[in-house]
Amino acid sequence: MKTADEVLAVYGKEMRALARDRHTILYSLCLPLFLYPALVWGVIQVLTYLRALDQTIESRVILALPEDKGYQAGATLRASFEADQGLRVSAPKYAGAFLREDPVGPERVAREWIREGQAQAVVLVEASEPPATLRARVFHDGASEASRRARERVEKAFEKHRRERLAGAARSLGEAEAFLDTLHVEEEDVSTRQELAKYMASLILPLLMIVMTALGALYPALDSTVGEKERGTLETTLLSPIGRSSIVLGKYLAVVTFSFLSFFLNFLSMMLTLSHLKSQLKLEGFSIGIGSSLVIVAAAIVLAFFLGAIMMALGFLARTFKEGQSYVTPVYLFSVFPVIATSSPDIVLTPLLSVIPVVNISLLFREALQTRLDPVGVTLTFATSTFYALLALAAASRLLRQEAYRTGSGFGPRAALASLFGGGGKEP
Amino acid sequence: MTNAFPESVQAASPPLRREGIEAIELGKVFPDSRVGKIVAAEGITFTCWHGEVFGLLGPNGAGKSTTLRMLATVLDPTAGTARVAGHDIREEPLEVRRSIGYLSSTTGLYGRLTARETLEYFGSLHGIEKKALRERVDELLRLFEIGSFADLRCEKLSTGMRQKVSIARAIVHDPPVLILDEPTLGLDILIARTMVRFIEDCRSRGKCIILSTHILSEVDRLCDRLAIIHRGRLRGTGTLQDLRLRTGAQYVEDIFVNLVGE
Repeated sequence: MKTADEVLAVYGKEMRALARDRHTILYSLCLPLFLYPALVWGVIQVLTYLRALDQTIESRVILALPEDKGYQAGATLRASFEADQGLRVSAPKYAGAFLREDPVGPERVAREWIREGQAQAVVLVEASEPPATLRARVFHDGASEASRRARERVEKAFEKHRRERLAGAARSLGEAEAFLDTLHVEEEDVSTRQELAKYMASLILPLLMIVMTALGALYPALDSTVGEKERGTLETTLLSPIGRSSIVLGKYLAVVTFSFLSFFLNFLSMMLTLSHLKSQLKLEGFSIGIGSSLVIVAAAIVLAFFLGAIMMALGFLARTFKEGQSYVTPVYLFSVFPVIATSSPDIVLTPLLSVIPVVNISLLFREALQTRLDPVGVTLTFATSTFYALLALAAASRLLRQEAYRTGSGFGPRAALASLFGGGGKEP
Repeated sequence: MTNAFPESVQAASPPLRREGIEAIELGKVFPDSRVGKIVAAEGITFTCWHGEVFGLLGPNGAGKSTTLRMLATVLDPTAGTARVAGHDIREEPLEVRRSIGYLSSTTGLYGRLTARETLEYFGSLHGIEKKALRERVDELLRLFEIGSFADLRCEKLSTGMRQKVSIARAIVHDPPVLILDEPTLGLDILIARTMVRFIEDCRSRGKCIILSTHILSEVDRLCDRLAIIHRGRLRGTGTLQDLRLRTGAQYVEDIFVNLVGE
């Protein structure tokens, strides 16, 4: 029997068995296809609801106004605050004096009022020279969402009040408001809507793509290695007159297929979700060209080869399914952490980063989404990732040729390293 | 149908009274993190002929399964060697695996494949051509009365049904040598009877059969010759009659106790 036929026979069996496994279908196919788009949709709905709810929630604010020389200015400020429908203002008499005269400081009193729920923000207003000038301190609890909201509303009310005072002062001088407001700052975003949309998408999509590719490989890799050891079916296959490498390769191709399918379904599903929810996500103009899509798909295939090989090698290393999970879970996490660590837009695919596994693919995904691919980085990423995948596959194949690991009587990672770099392990 | 099987299997089907298995000073030492090493088998030497059932009798942990798994090339011997159907287990493991049908409690069935798919899969791994494989599978389904549940997944089958599928799986390529490791373990009386009949039938067709067991009645009924194994070493080999004469004991149990010296 030719090696290719052997590999195909094992691959066909693995695909059939995995396609009938509920866990594999759930984690490798259903989850990427349905859950994440559903999550995105759900998050948007929740945020929309919260935003609407936010408009109806009042922020309770204690306004401590000056009692004497700044009283008139304080009264005008109070009117501005009360005009804001989001603020429920209370200005108890002597509140300012109470705050100012506390021996420890006004912070302590303000904290107590906020903690006791009397207010979500406390504003201490004091008059300074000239008398119409006010100085305000806003006390709030940064750990409380309601208090932060109150602070934001107070800031808006202050800004509104400031502009009204400027306008009033300018009017009294017979000038326009701009006469006193001598510094005008305007921001201009030079990016196009499409560029901005691609940038926003490139922040989150690479992480999801890598998570899905890893998740797609995880269960099939464990099921076809240590799962088979536990069920005794690996030994049944090992009794067949085919080489161990053919068995590893057949299983490996099935793991890679499911890993890639998981990525592809997620990618497709996310694209459909984004195109459907572009306006809610503020991603109008977002699209990915054919060239970038091809690079992304090719990178995902390489990533599936790499992660599949690593997870299979660890699966062969383990004696029980649980042990396999404990070996593979860190790989899953380690494939996510570098993506988060390099999520800063300032980090680009340099030749050095191109040789770091997973990080290189993550950056490649991002650059493909932003359509700014560097041929050197792309080439290095594909070359090194393929090399690492082959190394991991060779390790998996070598482990299956080691009696202790194919029979499940291995002695853990240290012995495995000795096996990998020591002698033995001849074919078949 | 026979023509469709790989030539090596056909060539390996030998006439009667030829050696099916020849173990020569076979030994196995497992490394152990606690005690350094465990000697599971040592100096195992015996011959098993075609047309006979050779029994390995011993208590749990005696080294029976280790010996059989070395013969099946699942485990690598650390000393000695063996020839199975004329092939050295160290030098020609693929040819050995092509020539054997191995059945034990550790050789599981793929739960997510049906009985028919299981037979087709293992037949294809043995290089049997598609048309011949279909015929062979149909023949085995009839022979073991699997037809009624041939298209059910193995995970849904009862123990007895699974055992029938396991036997069919082990002989899908019509091997000249059968290695059976406690084949009736955990089976009810009726299914165990089917297994015993299957072994007798294989013997009558000239197969070389080695089986391990600790069930004395099975030894009495099936084994033409037997080897008593204890703590990894053979304590006596011969026909039951030979062993009776040698020990002066009548019953298998007494023979065993006499030979192991406990």
